[in-house]
Amino acid sequence: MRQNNLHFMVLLVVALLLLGCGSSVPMKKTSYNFQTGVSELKVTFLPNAPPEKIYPYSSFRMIMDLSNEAAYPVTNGKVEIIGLDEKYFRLDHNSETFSSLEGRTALTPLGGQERIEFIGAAGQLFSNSEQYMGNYFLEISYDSKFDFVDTVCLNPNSYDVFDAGCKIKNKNSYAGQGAP
Amino acid sequence: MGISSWFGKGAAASGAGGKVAEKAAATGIGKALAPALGKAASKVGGAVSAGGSAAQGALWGAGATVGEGVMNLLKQQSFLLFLVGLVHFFFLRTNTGAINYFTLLMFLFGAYVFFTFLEEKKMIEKKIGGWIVIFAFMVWYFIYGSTLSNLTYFGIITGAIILILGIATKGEGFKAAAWAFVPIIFLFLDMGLLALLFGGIELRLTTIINNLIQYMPWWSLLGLFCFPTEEKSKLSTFMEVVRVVGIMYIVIVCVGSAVPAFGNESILPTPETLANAQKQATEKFSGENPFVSNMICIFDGRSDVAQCVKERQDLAEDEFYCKNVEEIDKGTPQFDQCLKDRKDKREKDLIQVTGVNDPTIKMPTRAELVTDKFFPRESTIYSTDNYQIQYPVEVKITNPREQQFMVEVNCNFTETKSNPKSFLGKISGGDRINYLEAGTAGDNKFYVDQATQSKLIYCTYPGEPKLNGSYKLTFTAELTGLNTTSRLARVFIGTKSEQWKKDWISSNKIFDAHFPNKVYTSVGPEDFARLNFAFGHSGSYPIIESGKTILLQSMIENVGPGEITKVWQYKINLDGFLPDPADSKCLNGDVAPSSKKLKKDIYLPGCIIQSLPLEFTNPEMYIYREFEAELKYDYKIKKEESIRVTLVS
Repeated sequence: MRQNNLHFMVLLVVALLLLGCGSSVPMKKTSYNFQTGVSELKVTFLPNAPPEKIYPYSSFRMIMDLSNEAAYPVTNGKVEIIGLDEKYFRLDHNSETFSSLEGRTALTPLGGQERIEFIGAAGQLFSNSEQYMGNYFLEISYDSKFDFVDTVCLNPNSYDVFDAGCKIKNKNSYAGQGAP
Repeated sequence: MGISSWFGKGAAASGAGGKVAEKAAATGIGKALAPALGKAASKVGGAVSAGGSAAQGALWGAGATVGEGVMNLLKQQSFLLFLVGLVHFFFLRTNTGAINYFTLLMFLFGAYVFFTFLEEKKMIEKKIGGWIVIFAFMVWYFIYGSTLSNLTYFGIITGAIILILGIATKGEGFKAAAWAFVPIIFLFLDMGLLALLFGGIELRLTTIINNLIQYMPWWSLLGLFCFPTEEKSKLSTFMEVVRVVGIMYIVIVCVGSAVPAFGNESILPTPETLANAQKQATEKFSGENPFVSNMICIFDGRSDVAQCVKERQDLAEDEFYCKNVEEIDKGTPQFDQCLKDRKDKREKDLIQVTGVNDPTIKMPTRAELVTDKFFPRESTIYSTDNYQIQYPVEVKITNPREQQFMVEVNCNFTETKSNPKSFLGKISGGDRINYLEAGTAGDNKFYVDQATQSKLIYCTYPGEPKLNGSYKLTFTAELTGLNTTSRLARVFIGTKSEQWKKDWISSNKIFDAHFPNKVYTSVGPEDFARLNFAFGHSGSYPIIESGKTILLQSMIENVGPGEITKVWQYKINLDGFLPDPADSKCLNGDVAPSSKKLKKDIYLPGCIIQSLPLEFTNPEMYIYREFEAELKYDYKIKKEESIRVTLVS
């Protein structure tokens, strides 16, 4: 019995020693720098909104998803539809605002999302026309900012013979700043 | 380490920083899915096989005689010119009319043959005077670019030489010099003078001119003209045959295109047809002779000769119009007013008002008078018989918009002899409408309100004396109360910065989105007539800015084959637009039924748009809008048939 207790104690000590020993190098922290690239605010229409073909005197919807793929938030956003002749396509409103969309961060890697919807009604075709094609522009305006980070070296010893300070590059290239 | 950051306001109008996401998209209204109907065009081809047999055997003696004859024929310069002219026309002449070496050679050879012909005919004694003019012309025209200053220079030198030559030869030298202009004219004809003169003028004669341009070997014609006539031999007989065939060819080329149809009608154009064509041509060619205009302007010392010529031509045309078309006596105040109106109209016409067929309207409103193969074009009746021949005509209406209008059919018999008499025929087969219009009753009217409608109408001769002989039977159908609408697209941008214009207009964004077919004029169905209209800073520019002069012009275009008989109302729907003058008839009005202009295109009064509706004056971006114009009118179509009635007693 006493021998059994001794074995148990030895195992416990060995286990403590093994479990207590870790790597002298600390574990690497997973990280991603969103502030690179030239991604921007993206807009996609939902399928069949608006439909490819709209019949006279029928209603339709224009639904779009906004996704802020930039690394910075956008604010004071406005979505506007321009160039539709209201005789053929009358919208309940031509523009809509959105207050802010977060940029991509570790907490929101897809960026802020917003869904905007316009409801419209088609009018009558001209005379006995077979069709009418209405082209339009979708314009989105917003406020945003981005950071530009670079190293500026101030060298107080530029006339020294042996200078281990700044090394000037003739050309520098950047990988974007997470905004257009 | 330095840190910099900036903030931008994203706004397309200001174009200042920030991000503006734009997407051009399209959506459309459609009545229904339109299955593509492929037209299966089948051609029935017939192969004509020609069988022939070649007679074997050679007649060597006869062959030698023929060979000698051919050599003699080729020795005739005029015949050679005839042949070479054909080769030049069909093989060597450039399609573009550009001058090549063959053209110059033909010119020199043609001149040589022509001068030789004149010598043989004793019309000139020496060719030298002609050659001087020919070579002077070639140097001036081909080398010095035929400028007016060089003409003076060369003209004086050539004139002096000809003068000396003429005096030395006691006047004979002048003759050859004068005749030298004949080959010069042929050179111009060969190079495309007719195409230059008649291009762009739409006359009934154009077909003939086209034929002359396309099918007339002018140098061969000159060779034909120079064929010898005195010799009496087999050779001259052959050339005579060629000459006759050549003349027949010319006649066919000229007259063939004017033959109206084969059948009972005359194979030659009637005197009336020719007289009408002559009248039309006279009405068209109403300006001052350009040579006279040029001379007067040069001797007046005008530095801008071209402008001076244009002014004189315009004035001459206006005087002709007022005198012959409006029938106003020259020297009266009305005549002066007419000239002023014409001048004003010309200035206003600087805005071109045109319209095109709406490509989205595949089915326009149409009407047609149709006679079939059973139509009694030839018939025999007995004098004792009370039977009246009925001449049927089918009125076919295509009315896709299901308009409601009235059709009144009439017929008229006209004798086809000199001093013809005309008789109004009696119509039956209509709806005997008397409830739509008070006091009207008859069998010659019917009412249309369906998409497709056809009505068989009969025309009979009114009574005694009975028909006997050849007549022209004219059916007319007048459509009363037609309505055609056209539309025009415009973009209003208000007042914008140069940068905005650069981003949206110069970059063609707006044009590509709203005018992808580059049609900036009004469009309308290809009905009988339509109202073409345009407004803007110029007729063909669709973008309208605030604060700039906006002109409005319109015209009624006769699109169909008949006549506009009445314009009840024209109306351009520009609600909120203020015309100047305010009481202008440019937006709304009618055209008097007695106007002579009704048959043709009718130009309506224009005006200046003084102010725009508030929504268009300064939009945040731009506004794209279509405007409509309505035309209510009557239209008359006709159909003619030649009939022959034999009266048997």
